[in-house]
Amino acid sequence: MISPLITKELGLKKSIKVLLSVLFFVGVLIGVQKLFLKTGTQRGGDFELDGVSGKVKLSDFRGKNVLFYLGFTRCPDVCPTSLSVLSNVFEGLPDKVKSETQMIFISLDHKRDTPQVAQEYVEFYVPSAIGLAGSKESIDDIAKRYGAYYRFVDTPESSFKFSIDHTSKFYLIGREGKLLEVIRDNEGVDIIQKILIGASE
Amino acid sequence: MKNIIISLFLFLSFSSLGKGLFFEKAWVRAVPKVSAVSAGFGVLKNTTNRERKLVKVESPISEIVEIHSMERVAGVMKMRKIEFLKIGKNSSRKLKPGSYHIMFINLKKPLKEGEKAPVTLFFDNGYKLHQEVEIKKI
Repeated sequence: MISPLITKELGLKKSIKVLLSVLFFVGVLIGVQKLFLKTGTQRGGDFELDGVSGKVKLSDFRGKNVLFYLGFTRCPDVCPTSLSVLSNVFEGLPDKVKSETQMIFISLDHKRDTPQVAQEYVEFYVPSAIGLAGSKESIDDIAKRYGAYYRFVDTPESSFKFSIDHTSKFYLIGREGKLLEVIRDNEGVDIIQKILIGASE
Repeated sequence: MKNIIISLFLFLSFSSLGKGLFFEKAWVRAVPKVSAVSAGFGVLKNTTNRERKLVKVESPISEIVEIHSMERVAGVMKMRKIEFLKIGKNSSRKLKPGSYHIMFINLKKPLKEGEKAPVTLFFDNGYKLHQEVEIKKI
């Protein structure tokens, strides 16, 4: 037998618990909203990653336009397709625009890719490009600030123990370091060329 | 006379071999030397009156070969291994960039443009299709 006093006490404890969880939920909501407002107001910004010969900052390329892509070298399909598009884009660019546009490949695979691997990988498609790698923290930061998404996914059924789901876009940064445009990976070669020519005028 | 009938029969049965399973416009992507993976594409054609499944692919170019699907969900590319790929009766299935593909994992040597990759496709009825597939840089 449970006495009425105990049940009353239990009821009170329960309502305190409910109240606390509601408060917690509201707090989380406010936090999430703040986060979105913060990232929503200004996309982009400088970053620092590892290249074959040391640290490389986006701001090292002030005065040039930068086109960067986030991918990974074990990406069998999307990244090679996107980089092939860029390969065609760069091959057909006027020399002046080519020399004024730096292509950067950033590896999302902070678990496996090194700067050397990223560099050799991207050179195959765009010889003048540089490949960069970085820690989870720096990659997360870039993804967040540029509105990119990536996630390691366990694929136990595949001999690939994990794959990376990711958005596939080209980010164009202007001479002053500002994000000018986010270009779809399936955009036409001629349209991307026009955008790059326009940016270097 | 008997011989003629037999040859006629043989001729007819051979000509009906036009029906079957084919892998057309096939190509494997040339990839950077450091790349551990590549993908194969083409059109799987089934001209028979039965649905068929591609269940396995083998190739000496890599340690592992898998069949993969690819999907763009809200702008995010998701790739997964699948157990088989159905090809409806009298129809074809396209393997193309951004969609279904044959995935070569742990390449044994660099895939150079212009060379060929031997590929064997296995179907659920036991049929084996061997092909020398072109390596292309696209």
